[in-house]
Amino acid sequence: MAVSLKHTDNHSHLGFLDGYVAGNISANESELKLHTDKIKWFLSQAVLTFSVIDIQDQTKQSLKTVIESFDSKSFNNLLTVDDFYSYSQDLLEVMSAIKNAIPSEKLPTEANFLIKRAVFHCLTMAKTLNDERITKIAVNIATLFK
Amino acid sequence: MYLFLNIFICFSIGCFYSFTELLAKFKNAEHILKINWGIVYIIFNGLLSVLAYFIIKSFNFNPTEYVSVDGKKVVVAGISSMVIIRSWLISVPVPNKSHPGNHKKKDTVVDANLAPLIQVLMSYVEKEFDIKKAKLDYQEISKIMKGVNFDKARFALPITFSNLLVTFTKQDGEEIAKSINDLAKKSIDDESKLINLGLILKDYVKFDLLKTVIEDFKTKNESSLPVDQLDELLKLFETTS
Repeated sequence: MAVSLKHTDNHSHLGFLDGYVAGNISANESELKLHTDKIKWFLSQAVLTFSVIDIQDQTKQSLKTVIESFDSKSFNNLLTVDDFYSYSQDLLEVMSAIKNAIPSEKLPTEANFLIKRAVFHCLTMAKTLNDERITKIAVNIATLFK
Repeated sequence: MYLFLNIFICFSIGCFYSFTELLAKFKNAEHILKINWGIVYIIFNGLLSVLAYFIIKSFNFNPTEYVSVDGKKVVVAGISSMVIIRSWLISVPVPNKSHPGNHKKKDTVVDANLAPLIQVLMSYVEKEFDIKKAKLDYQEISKIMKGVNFDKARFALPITFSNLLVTFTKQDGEEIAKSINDLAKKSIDDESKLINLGLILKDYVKFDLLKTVIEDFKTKNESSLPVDQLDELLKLFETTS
Protein backbone atom coordinates (compact mmCIF):
# COMPACT_ATOMS: atom_id res chain seq x y z
CA MET A 1 0.00 0.00 0.00
CA ALA A 2 1.55 3.23 -1.08
CA VAL A 3 1.98 6.01 1.38
CA SER A 4 0.69 8.72 -0.85
CA LEU A 5 1.01 12.21 0.47
CA LYS A 6 -2.01 13.76 -1.17
CA HIS A 7 -2.06 17.41 -1.91
CA THR A 8 -4.84 18.31 0.42
CA ASP A 9 -5.62 21.04 2.86
CA ASN A 10 -6.16 18.40 5.46
CA HIS A 11 -3.00 18.89 7.47
CA SER A 12 -4.17 16.39 10.04
CA HIS A 13 -4.35 13.69 7.34
CA LEU A 14 -0.81 14.45 6.18
CA GLY A 15 0.35 14.55 9.78
CA PHE A 16 -1.12 11.12 10.45
CA LEU A 17 0.61 9.60 7.42
CA ASP A 18 3.92 11.21 8.36
CA GLY A 19 3.55 9.93 11.88
CA TYR A 20 2.50 6.49 10.72
CA VAL A 21 5.40 6.10 8.31
CA ALA A 22 7.88 7.51 10.80
CA GLY A 23 6.50 5.24 13.49
CA ASN A 24 6.84 2.25 11.21
CA ILE A 25 10.48 3.06 10.42
CA SER A 26 11.24 3.79 14.05
CA ALA A 27 9.71 0.52 15.22
CA ASN A 28 11.74 -1.46 12.68
CA GLU A 29 14.96 0.50 12.90
CA SER A 30 17.16 -2.38 14.07
CA GLU A 31 15.70 -4.74 11.47
CA LEU A 32 16.21 -2.22 8.65
CA LYS A 33 19.78 -1.62 9.77
CA LEU A 34 20.40 -5.37 9.72
CA HIS A 35 19.14 -5.61 6.15
CA THR A 36 21.21 -2.70 4.89
CA ASP A 37 24.30 -4.11 6.66
CA LYS A 38 23.69 -7.52 5.11
CA ILE A 39 23.24 -6.04 1.65
CA LYS A 40 26.49 -4.17 2.06
CA TRP A 41 28.35 -7.25 3.28
CA PHE A 42 27.08 -9.64 0.62
CA LEU A 43 27.86 -7.20 -2.17
CA SER A 44 31.37 -6.57 -0.85
CA GLN A 45 31.97 -10.34 -0.69
CA ALA A 46 30.58 -10.74 -4.21
CA VAL A 47 33.06 -8.14 -5.48
CA LEU A 48 35.93 -10.31 -4.19
CA THR A 49 34.84 -13.13 -6.50
CA PHE A 50 34.81 -10.89 -9.60
CA SER A 51 38.58 -11.17 -9.96
CA VAL A 52 38.26 -14.69 -11.39
CA ILE A 53 35.57 -13.75 -13.88
CA ASP A 54 36.57 -13.68 -17.53
CA ILE A 55 35.65 -10.08 -18.34
CA GLN A 56 37.65 -6.99 -19.18
CA ASP A 57 39.66 -5.46 -16.36
CA GLN A 58 38.13 -2.12 -17.06
CA THR A 59 34.66 -3.56 -16.51
CA LYS A 60 35.80 -5.17 -13.27
CA GLN A 61 37.25 -1.86 -12.10
CA SER A 62 34.15 0.16 -12.88
CA LEU A 63 31.99 -2.45 -11.15
CA LYS A 64 34.21 -2.25 -8.12
CA THR A 65 33.96 1.55 -8.11
CA VAL A 66 30.18 1.47 -8.34
CA ILE A 67 29.87 -0.98 -5.47
CA GLU A 68 32.39 0.85 -3.29
CA SER A 69 30.51 4.07 -3.87
CA PHE A 70 27.32 2.33 -2.78
CA ASP A 71 29.11 0.84 0.26
CA SER A 72 30.16 4.26 1.42
CA LYS A 73 26.56 5.23 2.10
CA SER A 74 25.90 5.10 5.78
CA PHE A 75 22.79 3.73 7.42
CA ASN A 76 22.76 6.75 9.70
CA ASN A 77 21.53 8.81 6.76
CA LEU A 78 18.50 6.59 6.25
CA LEU A 79 15.92 8.27 8.45
CA THR A 80 12.83 8.71 6.28
CA VAL A 81 11.06 6.67 3.66
CA ASP A 82 12.43 9.02 1.02
CA ASP A 83 15.97 8.21 2.20
CA PHE A 84 15.24 4.52 1.77
CA TYR A 85 13.78 5.20 -1.65
CA SER A 86 17.02 6.92 -2.72
CA TYR A 87 18.97 4.03 -1.22
CA SER A 88 16.87 1.55 -3.19
CA GLN A 89 17.44 3.48 -6.41
CA ASP A 90 21.21 3.41 -5.81
CA LEU A 91 21.01 -0.31 -5.13
CA LEU A 92 19.11 -0.84 -8.39
CA GLU A 93 21.88 0.99 -10.21
CA VAL A 94 24.48 -1.32 -8.67
CA MET A 95 22.55 -4.46 -9.46
CA SER A 96 21.85 -3.33 -13.00
CA ALA A 97 25.56 -2.57 -13.47
CA ILE A 98 26.46 -6.09 -12.29
CA LYS A 99 23.85 -7.68 -14.53
CA ASN A 100 24.97 -5.70 -17.56
CA ALA A 101 28.68 -6.25 -16.94
CA ILE A 102 28.62 -9.97 -16.20
CA PRO A 103 26.58 -12.40 -18.28
CA SER A 104 24.69 -15.00 -16.25
CA GLU A 105 26.76 -17.87 -17.58
CA LYS A 106 29.99 -16.21 -16.47
CA LEU A 107 28.80 -15.37 -12.94
CA PRO A 108 30.50 -17.73 -10.45
CA THR A 109 28.23 -19.84 -8.29
CA GLU A 110 29.50 -18.18 -5.15
CA ALA A 111 28.91 -14.68 -6.53
CA ASN A 112 25.47 -15.75 -7.68
CA PHE A 113 24.64 -16.95 -4.17
CA LEU A 114 25.97 -13.79 -2.50
CA ILE A 115 24.04 -11.52 -4.86
CA LYS A 116 20.84 -13.46 -4.30
CA ARG A 117 21.25 -13.15 -0.54
CA ALA A 118 21.64 -9.39 -0.99
CA VAL A 119 18.47 -9.38 -3.10
CA PHE A 120 16.63 -11.31 -0.39
CA HIS A 121 17.50 -8.68 2.20
CA CYS A 122 16.46 -5.95 -0.22
CA LEU A 123 13.07 -7.62 -0.66
CA THR A 124 12.62 -8.03 3.10
CA MET A 125 13.53 -4.39 3.65
CA ALA A 126 10.93 -3.36 1.04
CA LYS A 127 8.27 -5.50 2.72
CA THR A 128 9.03 -3.90 6.09
CA LEU A 129 8.86 -0.37 4.70
CA ASN A 130 5.66 -1.06 2.77
CA ASP A 131 6.19 1.75 0.30
CA GLU A 132 4.97 1.07 -3.22
CA ARG A 133 7.89 2.88 -4.86
CA ILE A 134 10.46 0.92 -2.89
CA THR A 135 8.54 -2.33 -3.45
CA LYS A 136 8.60 -1.80 -7.22
CA ILE A 137 12.35 -1.20 -7.17
CA ALA A 138 12.90 -4.31 -5.04
CA VAL A 139 10.81 -6.36 -7.45
CA ASN A 140 12.81 -4.98 -10.39
CA ILE A 141 16.07 -5.90 -8.68
CA ALA A 142 14.83 -9.39 -7.88
CA THR A 143 13.64 -9.89 -11.46
CA LEU A 144 17.17 -9.19 -12.73
CA PHE A 145 18.53 -12.18 -10.80
CA LYS A 146 15.49 -14.46 -10.69
CA MET B 1 -50.34 15.39 43.41
CA TYR B 2 -47.85 18.19 42.98
CA LEU B 3 -45.73 16.66 45.70
CA PHE B 4 -45.37 13.47 43.70
CA LEU B 5 -44.67 15.48 40.59
CA ASN B 6 -41.91 17.37 42.39
CA ILE B 7 -40.44 14.13 43.65
CA PHE B 8 -40.57 12.62 40.19
CA ILE B 9 -38.86 15.62 38.60
CA CYS B 10 -36.15 15.64 41.30
CA PHE B 11 -35.58 11.94 40.87
CA SER B 12 -35.36 12.30 37.08
CA ILE B 13 -32.90 15.16 37.24
CA GLY B 14 -30.70 13.24 39.67
CA CYS B 15 -30.80 10.17 37.44
CA PHE B 16 -30.08 12.16 34.32
CA TYR B 17 -27.17 13.95 35.99
CA SER B 18 -25.55 10.70 37.10
CA PHE B 19 -26.22 9.10 33.72
CA THR B 20 -24.32 11.89 31.98
CA GLU B 21 -21.54 11.46 34.51
CA LEU B 22 -21.23 7.78 33.58
CA LEU B 23 -21.50 8.66 29.92
CA ALA B 24 -18.61 11.13 30.21
CA LYS B 25 -16.57 8.48 31.98
CA PHE B 26 -17.30 5.44 29.83
CA LYS B 27 -18.45 7.09 26.56
CA ASN B 28 -20.88 4.30 25.71
CA ALA B 29 -24.60 4.80 26.50
CA GLU B 30 -25.64 1.33 25.36
CA HIS B 31 -23.20 -0.44 27.64
CA ILE B 32 -23.96 1.73 30.68
CA LEU B 33 -27.63 0.75 30.67
CA LYS B 34 -26.72 -2.93 30.47
CA ILE B 35 -24.68 -2.83 33.66
CA ASN B 36 -26.56 -3.63 36.85
CA TRP B 37 -24.30 -1.50 39.02
CA GLY B 38 -24.71 1.34 36.55
CA ILE B 39 -28.47 1.23 37.06
CA VAL B 40 -27.91 1.11 40.83
CA TYR B 41 -25.66 4.16 40.63
CA ILE B 42 -28.21 6.11 38.60
CA ILE B 43 -31.12 5.23 40.88
CA PHE B 44 -29.04 5.95 43.99
CA ASN B 45 -28.31 9.45 42.72
CA GLY B 46 -31.98 9.90 41.86
CA LEU B 47 -32.96 9.00 45.41
CA LEU B 48 -30.34 11.35 46.82
CA SER B 49 -31.88 14.12 44.77
CA VAL B 50 -35.25 13.40 46.33
CA LEU B 51 -33.61 13.45 49.76
CA ALA B 52 -32.01 16.78 48.89
CA TYR B 53 -35.41 18.14 47.94
CA PHE B 54 -36.83 17.32 51.33
CA ILE B 55 -33.76 18.74 53.09
CA ILE B 56 -34.19 21.99 51.18
CA LYS B 57 -37.83 21.95 52.06
CA SER B 58 -37.14 21.41 55.77
CA PHE B 59 -35.10 24.60 55.98
CA ASN B 60 -37.86 26.60 54.41
CA PHE B 61 -40.93 24.71 55.32
CA ASN B 62 -44.19 26.12 54.03
CA PRO B 63 -47.13 23.76 53.62
CA THR B 64 -48.62 25.84 50.85
CA GLU B 65 -45.56 25.27 48.72
CA TYR B 66 -46.52 21.62 48.34
CA VAL B 67 -49.53 22.78 46.44
CA SER B 68 -47.58 23.66 43.34
CA VAL B 69 -44.51 22.62 41.39
CA ASP B 70 -41.67 24.67 42.85
CA GLY B 71 -39.43 24.75 39.85
CA LYS B 72 -36.23 26.23 41.22
CA LYS B 73 -36.14 24.09 44.33
CA VAL B 74 -36.80 20.97 42.32
CA VAL B 75 -33.97 21.73 39.90
CA VAL B 76 -31.57 22.61 42.73
CA ALA B 77 -32.56 19.47 44.58
CA GLY B 78 -32.10 17.43 41.46
CA ILE B 79 -28.52 18.41 40.99
CA SER B 80 -27.69 18.85 44.66
CA SER B 81 -27.29 15.11 45.07
CA MET B 82 -23.87 15.65 43.54
CA VAL B 83 -23.11 18.32 46.13
CA ILE B 84 -24.35 16.22 49.03
CA ILE B 85 -22.36 13.11 48.23
CA ARG B 86 -19.16 14.85 47.29
CA SER B 87 -19.01 17.67 49.84
CA TRP B 88 -18.33 17.47 53.49
CA LEU B 89 -21.37 17.27 55.74
CA ILE B 90 -19.75 17.71 59.09
CA SER B 91 -16.25 18.16 60.43
CA VAL B 92 -15.30 15.86 63.27
CA PRO B 93 -12.34 16.85 65.44
CA VAL B 94 -10.29 13.86 66.55
CA PRO B 95 -8.44 14.60 69.83
CA ASN B 96 -4.67 14.36 69.79
CA LYS B 97 -4.28 11.54 72.34
CA SER B 98 -0.53 11.09 71.95
CA HIS B 99 0.20 14.52 73.33
CA PRO B 100 -2.65 15.52 75.62
CA GLY B 101 -2.47 19.06 76.69
CA ASN B 102 0.14 19.84 74.07
CA HIS B 103 -1.21 22.97 72.63
CA LYS B 104 1.23 22.93 69.74
CA LYS B 105 -0.13 19.64 68.38
CA LYS B 106 -3.66 20.42 67.17
CA ASP B 107 -6.47 17.91 67.00
CA THR B 108 -6.96 16.24 63.61
CA VAL B 109 -10.14 17.29 61.79
CA VAL B 110 -11.92 14.66 59.71
CA ASP B 111 -14.50 15.71 57.13
CA ALA B 112 -17.37 13.26 57.09
CA ASN B 113 -19.22 12.87 53.78
CA LEU B 114 -20.73 10.34 51.46
CA ALA B 115 -17.87 10.44 48.90
CA PRO B 116 -16.38 7.07 50.01
CA LEU B 117 -19.78 5.49 49.46
CA ILE B 118 -20.04 6.83 45.93
CA GLN B 119 -16.45 5.74 45.24
CA VAL B 120 -17.28 2.19 46.25
CA LEU B 121 -20.36 2.23 44.03
CA MET B 122 -18.39 3.66 41.14
CA SER B 123 -15.67 1.00 41.47
CA TYR B 124 -18.31 -1.71 41.12
CA VAL B 125 -19.73 0.06 38.08
CA GLU B 126 -16.27 0.37 36.52
CA LYS B 127 -15.41 -3.26 37.04
CA GLU B 128 -18.67 -4.56 35.66
CA PHE B 129 -18.53 -2.16 32.73
CA ASP B 130 -15.00 -3.24 31.91
CA ILE B 131 -15.86 -6.93 31.86
CA LYS B 132 -19.07 -6.51 29.91
CA LYS B 133 -17.47 -4.19 27.38
CA ALA B 134 -14.51 -6.56 26.92
CA LYS B 135 -16.85 -9.47 26.22
CA LEU B 136 -18.94 -7.52 23.71
CA ASP B 137 -15.83 -6.04 22.06
CA TYR B 138 -14.23 -9.45 21.67
CA GLN B 139 -17.34 -10.98 20.12
CA GLU B 140 -17.76 -8.11 17.68
CA ILE B 141 -14.12 -7.92 16.66
CA SER B 142 -13.85 -11.69 16.12
CA LYS B 143 -16.77 -11.53 13.70
CA ILE B 144 -15.51 -8.45 11.89
CA MET B 145 -11.89 -9.54 11.44
CA LYS B 146 -12.55 -13.12 10.38
CA GLY B 147 -10.94 -13.96 7.04
CA VAL B 148 -8.79 -10.83 6.83
CA ASN B 149 -5.18 -11.07 5.72
CA PHE B 150 -3.15 -9.65 8.60
CA ASP B 151 -0.07 -8.70 6.55
CA LYS B 152 -2.11 -6.63 4.11
CA ALA B 153 -4.56 -5.26 6.66
CA ARG B 154 -1.88 -3.97 9.04
CA PHE B 155 -0.73 -1.45 6.44
CA ALA B 156 -3.88 -0.81 4.44
CA LEU B 157 -6.38 -0.21 7.24
CA PRO B 158 -4.68 2.60 9.21
CA ILE B 159 -4.04 4.50 5.99
CA THR B 160 -7.64 4.00 4.84
CA PHE B 161 -8.91 5.36 8.15
CA SER B 162 -6.59 8.35 7.96
CA ASN B 163 -8.09 9.14 4.55
CA LEU B 164 -11.59 8.95 6.01
CA LEU B 165 -11.15 10.74 9.32
CA VAL B 166 -9.87 14.29 9.64
CA THR B 167 -9.25 13.93 13.36
CA PHE B 168 -6.29 11.58 13.00
CA THR B 169 -3.13 13.34 14.14
CA LYS B 170 0.55 12.70 13.61
CA GLN B 171 0.77 11.35 17.11
CA ASP B 172 -2.05 8.91 16.36
CA GLY B 173 -0.08 7.70 13.34
CA GLU B 174 3.04 7.08 15.38
CA GLU B 175 1.11 5.33 18.14
CA ILE B 176 -0.78 3.08 15.75
CA ALA B 177 2.39 2.20 13.85
CA LYS B 178 4.17 1.29 17.08
CA SER B 179 1.26 -0.80 18.41
CA ILE B 180 0.84 -2.69 15.14
CA ASN B 181 4.57 -3.30 14.75
CA ASP B 182 4.79 -4.63 18.31
CA LEU B 183 1.83 -6.90 17.57
CA ALA B 184 3.34 -8.18 14.31
CA LYS B 185 6.47 -9.25 16.17
CA LYS B 186 4.60 -11.26 18.78
CA SER B 187 4.79 -15.05 18.57
CA ILE B 188 1.05 -15.64 18.39
CA ASP B 189 -1.14 -17.15 15.69
CA ASP B 190 -2.55 -15.02 12.87
CA GLU B 191 -6.09 -15.18 14.18
CA SER B 192 -5.03 -13.71 17.53
CA LYS B 193 -3.04 -11.04 15.71
CA LEU B 194 -6.11 -10.14 13.67
CA ILE B 195 -8.29 -9.79 16.76
CA ASN B 196 -5.68 -7.63 18.45
CA LEU B 197 -5.33 -5.53 15.29
CA GLY B 198 -9.08 -4.96 15.38
CA LEU B 199 -8.92 -4.00 19.06
CA ILE B 200 -6.12 -1.51 18.37
CA LEU B 201 -8.03 0.14 15.51
CA LYS B 202 -11.31 0.13 17.44
CA ASP B 203 -9.77 2.53 19.98
CA TYR B 204 -9.44 5.10 17.18
CA VAL B 205 -12.59 4.42 15.13
CA LYS B 206 -16.05 3.16 16.10
CA PHE B 207 -17.25 -0.36 15.42
CA ASP B 208 -19.52 0.79 12.60
CA LEU B 209 -16.73 2.33 10.56
CA LEU B 210 -14.37 -0.53 11.32
CA LYS B 211 -16.95 -3.06 10.16
CA THR B 212 -17.75 -1.14 6.96
CA VAL B 213 -14.12 -0.72 5.96
CA ILE B 214 -13.16 -4.31 6.82
CA GLU B 215 -16.07 -5.77 4.85
CA ASP B 216 -15.08 -3.72 1.85
CA PHE B 217 -11.45 -4.69 2.35
CA LYS B 218 -12.36 -8.38 2.37
CA THR B 219 -14.51 -8.31 -0.76
CA LYS B 220 -12.02 -6.39 -2.86
CA ASN B 221 -10.05 -8.64 -5.17
CA GLU B 222 -7.74 -5.91 -6.16
CA SER B 223 -4.27 -7.34 -5.92
CA SER B 224 -1.59 -4.81 -5.34
CA LEU B 225 0.59 -6.39 -7.95
CA PRO B 226 4.01 -5.34 -6.72
CA VAL B 227 3.18 -6.53 -3.20
CA ASP B 228 1.96 -9.94 -4.37
CA GLN B 229 5.02 -10.27 -6.54
CA LEU B 230 7.11 -9.26 -3.54
CA ASP B 231 5.79 -12.15 -1.44
CA GLU B 232 6.40 -14.66 -4.21
CA LEU B 233 9.90 -13.37 -4.81
CA LEU B 234 10.66 -13.45 -1.09
CA LYS B 235 9.78 -17.13 -0.97
CA LEU B 236 11.92 -17.76 -4.04
CA PHE B 237 14.99 -15.94 -2.78
CA GLU B 238 14.65 -17.20 0.79
CA THR B 239 15.23 -20.75 -0.34
CA THR B 240 17.92 -19.89 -2.86
CA SER B 241 21.24 -21.47 -2.09
